[in-house]
Amino acid sequence: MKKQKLLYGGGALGAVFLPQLFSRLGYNPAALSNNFPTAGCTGSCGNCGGSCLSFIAPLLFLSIRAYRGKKQ
Amino acid sequence: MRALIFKLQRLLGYVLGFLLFYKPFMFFNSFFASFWQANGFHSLHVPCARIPISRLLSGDWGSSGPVSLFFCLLLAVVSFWFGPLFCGRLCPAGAFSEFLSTLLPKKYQIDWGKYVPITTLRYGFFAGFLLITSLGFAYPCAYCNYYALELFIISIGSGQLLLTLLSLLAVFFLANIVFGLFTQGGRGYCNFLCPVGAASSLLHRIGQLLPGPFRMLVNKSACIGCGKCARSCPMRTISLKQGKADIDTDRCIVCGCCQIQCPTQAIRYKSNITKEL
Repeated sequence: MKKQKLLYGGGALGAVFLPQLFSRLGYNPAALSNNFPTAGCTGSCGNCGGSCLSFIAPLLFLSIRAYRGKKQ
Repeated sequence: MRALIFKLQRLLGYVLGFLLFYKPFMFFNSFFASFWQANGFHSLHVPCARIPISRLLSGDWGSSGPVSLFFCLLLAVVSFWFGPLFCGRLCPAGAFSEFLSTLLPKKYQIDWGKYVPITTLRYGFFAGFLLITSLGFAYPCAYCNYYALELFIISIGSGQLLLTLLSLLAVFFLANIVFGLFTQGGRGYCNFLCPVGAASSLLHRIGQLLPGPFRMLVNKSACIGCGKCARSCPMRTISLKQGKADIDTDRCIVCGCCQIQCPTQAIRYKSNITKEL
């Protein structure tokens, strides 16, 4: 049970962190060397701070977990 | 009658929250601006608690504004001793999504607690938020429903909805439609994604390790296990264990909904040194 909870917690962390990491590495390889958020995530949103990525990814993660939880 | 007075009290609290922190009023900001006699205080970001929280890992607290730091400290002290009162009594963004959830029958809404461990996910997302902001991957504003609500109100007022940051509009709709309208209790955003709420609850939880701090207490001998409290809780923190109500301190926002619904008045907001039974 504890292991499962740990996996859930880790998954939640990853759902916020990984999309940001990939977007930065994908759009701007030098991004990790400075301290500015990804400026042109889509080019149309403006400097949102990565809201779309860091909101939609957790939502997707939650939906998948809830769907699996419902099936179980 | 008691329930009506309680509802009115809650409504007044949220209206007060709106007047204190949201445009065009911002009385909290105006109060501090009168001390500093400074310009540029007319922004939601001035008392923002997310900014100092996002700098928890990097330790760069000094670059947060003084009002922001003061507000964060105030929140921390209140949450530690009295629980997340800001979430349960003042936060207009949480109240708005909670209100939206009352517009739809429960059969169309998701009860997240049935399918996922909310508390675990909440702190997982919180850790993710700390990580992305401390590494500079995202602004503290990332997926901020509080700011999104203000932008939405401004954009409606100015008739320029699409000129607002589109991603924050998306956040507004997801937080209030998915996690509000289609979520039982309407506090899905607060439960999963709000870093201020998570930090407040964490402090509330730590506070409970000491004698003295306040919390919602259940008098187990008076509890008849009717479940009214569980159904009325906007955060869905109450479960029935062995036929008695059990409140999860990790997510309770001490809003008092359970207390007012309890037919035997078994739930009280008291100091934890009060004898439970």
